Amino acid sequence: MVKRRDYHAYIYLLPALFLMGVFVLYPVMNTILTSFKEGYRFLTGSFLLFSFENYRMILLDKIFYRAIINTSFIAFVCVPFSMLSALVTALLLNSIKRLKGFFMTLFYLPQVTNVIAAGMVFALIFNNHFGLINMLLVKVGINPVAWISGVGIAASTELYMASYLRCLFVLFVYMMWNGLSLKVILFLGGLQNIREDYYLAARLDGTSKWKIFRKITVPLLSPTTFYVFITSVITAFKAYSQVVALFTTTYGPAGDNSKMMITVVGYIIDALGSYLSAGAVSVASAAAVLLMISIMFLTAVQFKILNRWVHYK
Amino acid sequence: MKERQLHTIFYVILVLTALLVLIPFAWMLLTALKSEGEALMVPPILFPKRPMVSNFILALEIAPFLSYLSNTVIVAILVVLGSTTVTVLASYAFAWMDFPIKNILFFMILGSMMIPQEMLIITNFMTIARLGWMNSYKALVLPYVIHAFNIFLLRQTMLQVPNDLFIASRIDGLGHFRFLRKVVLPICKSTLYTTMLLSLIWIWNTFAWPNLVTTKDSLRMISNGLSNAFTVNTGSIRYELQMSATTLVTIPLILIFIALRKHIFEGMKRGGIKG
Amino acid sequence: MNFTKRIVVLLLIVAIGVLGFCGGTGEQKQTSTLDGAIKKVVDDKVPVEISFWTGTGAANYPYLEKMVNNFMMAYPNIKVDFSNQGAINDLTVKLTQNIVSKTTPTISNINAPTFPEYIASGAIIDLAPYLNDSRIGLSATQQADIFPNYFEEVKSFGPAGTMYGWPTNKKTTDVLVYNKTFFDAHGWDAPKTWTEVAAYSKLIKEETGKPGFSYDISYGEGAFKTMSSQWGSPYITADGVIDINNPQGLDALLFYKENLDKGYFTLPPLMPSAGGNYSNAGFVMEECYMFIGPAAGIQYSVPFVERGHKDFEVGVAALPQKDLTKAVTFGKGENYAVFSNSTTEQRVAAWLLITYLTEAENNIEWLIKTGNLPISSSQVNNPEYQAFLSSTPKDGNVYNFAISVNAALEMMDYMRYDIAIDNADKLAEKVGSMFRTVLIGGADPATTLAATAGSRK
Repeated sequence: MVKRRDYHAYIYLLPALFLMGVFVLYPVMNTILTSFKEGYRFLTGSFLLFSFENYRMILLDKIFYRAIINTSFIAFVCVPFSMLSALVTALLLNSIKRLKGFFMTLFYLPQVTNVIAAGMVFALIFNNHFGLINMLLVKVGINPVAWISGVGIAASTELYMASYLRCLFVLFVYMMWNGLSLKVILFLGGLQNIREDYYLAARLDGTSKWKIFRKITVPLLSPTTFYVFITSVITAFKAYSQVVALFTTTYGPAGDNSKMMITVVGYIIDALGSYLSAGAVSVASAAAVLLMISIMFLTAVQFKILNRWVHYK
Repeated sequence: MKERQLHTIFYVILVLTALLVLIPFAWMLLTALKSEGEALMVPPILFPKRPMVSNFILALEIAPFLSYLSNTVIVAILVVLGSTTVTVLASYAFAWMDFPIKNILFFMILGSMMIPQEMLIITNFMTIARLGWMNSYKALVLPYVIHAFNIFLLRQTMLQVPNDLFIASRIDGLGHFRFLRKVVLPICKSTLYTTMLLSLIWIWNTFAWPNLVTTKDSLRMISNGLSNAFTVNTGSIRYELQMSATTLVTIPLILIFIALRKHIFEGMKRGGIKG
Repeated sequence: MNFTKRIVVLLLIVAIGVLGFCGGTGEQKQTSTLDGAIKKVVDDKVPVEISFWTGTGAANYPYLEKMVNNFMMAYPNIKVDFSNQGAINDLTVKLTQNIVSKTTPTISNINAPTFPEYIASGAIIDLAPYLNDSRIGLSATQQADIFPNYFEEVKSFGPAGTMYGWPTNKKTTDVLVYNKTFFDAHGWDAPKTWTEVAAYSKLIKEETGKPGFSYDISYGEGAFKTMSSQWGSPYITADGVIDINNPQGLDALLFYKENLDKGYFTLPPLMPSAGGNYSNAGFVMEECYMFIGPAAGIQYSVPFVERGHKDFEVGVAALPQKDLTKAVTFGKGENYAVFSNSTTEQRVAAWLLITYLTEAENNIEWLIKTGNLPISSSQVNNPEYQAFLSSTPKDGNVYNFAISVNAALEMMDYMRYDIAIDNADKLAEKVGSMFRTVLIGGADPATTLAATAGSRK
């Protein structure tokens, strides 16, 4: 096949690239520049000198590593689980004959549910004293669990770890709820893109349902699966509002001094503060640059590894 | 026989999952119907004694709801139109054209998904202020017209259009643009509607940027207009009114979804080479 | 090669577009002398437009709006663009951004920690010349009328002789709320010292099994700051030096801890019905019988039986003290600032507005409806306000505000203001976290206190 050079592609891309230049590239360059300014004062723009000081401070900060751990948990534990559940749900939805549209609308609702309301509801469900979960546990005869509680955690490592694990569980359930909705819609859309003819032909041939799934559905769904995985991981790395909705701006239960559930974006926001202290904006910029680099690296790795398995036609 | 049993199991699983997924939305709706006292009760009650539909009317009266709604609608329409154009052109270029540094540019566009909004906002605010675009629709719309998630999604779908169709179009003498219009777009209609829906949801819920760029109440949208509308002196919120307003706000989104549902999940009914 | 050229052209287009935005627009503001400007605005009634941003709850905004409209009627040539910009933290971030982009309003509320940096960068102006002007300023009597702590605060932000802020009418403070019915039944008065608080709490615990006392922790540092200052810790010295890790501070912390461990004291997160930062939800369920919380939040501390609360009458009193001869309490509330990105005429108009907003007669409706504290003696002595202060229980919610304000007014003589330093909000956050981790998390008080004082991030 002759290699075409479609130079008018640049015209097709012009609007996107222009807007990106102004609203993404320019701010990013600005951010990178600011991240090297030591002691940057936002109001006057003055700073001491160019150095790696901001990066050094971050890399020596225990809380930053906590943020990395939590963010990784969301990206590499919560995402795969919610993807799997979403895929199963989408397949089920695709197979049923009646009430398809009704269920679709139901699964769509979390997308339009107010984030504050959702956070409040989850806090209530997991409330230590009158939450739904604890009420159910008691009915079954199990002791109620103090889900989000910080009593005694500063004095004992076991109590701290136990509290941390419980908080992670609550976060996990919330992220599953949060993530299911959009992924189901995307998977459903992807399933729709698989042409009926393929299924018809396979069924005429007498192929088993399981084989159809493996040889037709999975490969033809792979572009969508690829998209969902990449974008979900990227979104997970930017998680912030969910953690604040569940654990408030102290990122942990009362009694916690370590910002237990902080994420990387949370770290950035905290560094920003009210923008006024010397170095606030520059440290935040450095953290943002680190975040950006990590996501880029991870995404590149994902592309390299997974691209082989994606079938477009 | 087995088919019927299997389907029943499917329905049961779906109903259970749907119920779980629904809980926060249901709570939002129920709280909207509670009285002020009921909304604050501890332990919280699930159902109000008498549904107070008057909350919805009160919420509408307190905040200049119509103004916020119309602003949001205007911005949403402009964004969807602009974003769809930009997305379609860009996705097509990446899917079906070949040009130097194509992969680098694609990765750059992908890269814009990776930057937390919080960092972009600070500089973008300066840009908008320098241009004198504070409190304008331009400022509210333009940053949202570029949406890398949509470009990526549409590109994935466009790549699935069979090569034969492309070859056939060349034989027929169609250039890229006609191919895009006559073959690719109709096939990708369902994804296109999905991207429009996603942009719409994004606009509806976005808060930080409109909050910074609009200081006049006349230009506020639903998200930032309502955030403070029901707070009392010490920062406590009248939840029953907040939830009423929030519920009202979701109604258009649900209606639009129901309308678009068919188009998104239609599937590729036509897919033949004939066309 | 052809395609290289095209890429270069493309990137050039993008770059030019980007650079085009880099042109700053710095409007030069015309400034006349102060006297000239006063003459223009007050005598010649030249039209002036100013903008005023506030951050107040939507429920209270209409009263403020009314006051601004009345101002415009009194000064027809001054047009005020008045808008509500959300909670004070959002408002502050917005203002900071607008300072850099030179699009600030003329006036806004700001809180204490924001002042040092705003002054250092020249973003706000010194109002002393306006205060001392013979025509539009305040006479000595008028200046003496304002409560000293509020007046001293706005003069403390900058060097001596300057005044960079002006008190708003959104001042409040913490008060002691208690279960009057229970106390009356036992023949107790409201506790005046911490020893009494502890003693009552012990008796309450023994009788009801519930803790007696709780302390709101929504302001992070509030509890520790107040208590350690009462115990004699400087906390922040007048020169702006932080001094929290000292024996007095540790004593205060240990005092609370002892009582908490014995079950006499508690905190909001530990009460089943409360959780979070506020005690009132637990208080109305009699999960504690006294608590310290914001005066303006009194309406949420009154029990309503229809909502499932217990049934009792509420009393409000001044904060308990460690040493009644060295009483300490802290006031809260924002101050106005006028931004330097304005003409002299606009500044004159702004000064006229903010002084109007603090005049007695204009404020009475606002103060009664919101429960905020009066800031001058003439406000307190206003007949209508005096009637409000003498409300009785049958006056409903107004009565609750009245007893709250009365308790606050008792403390006005020794009420202090927060010393404004850089990073004050970071300090508040860290101290709040320390308080919670020692009392709830079980951390060691001495080492944690030292660690908090040591970290300066």
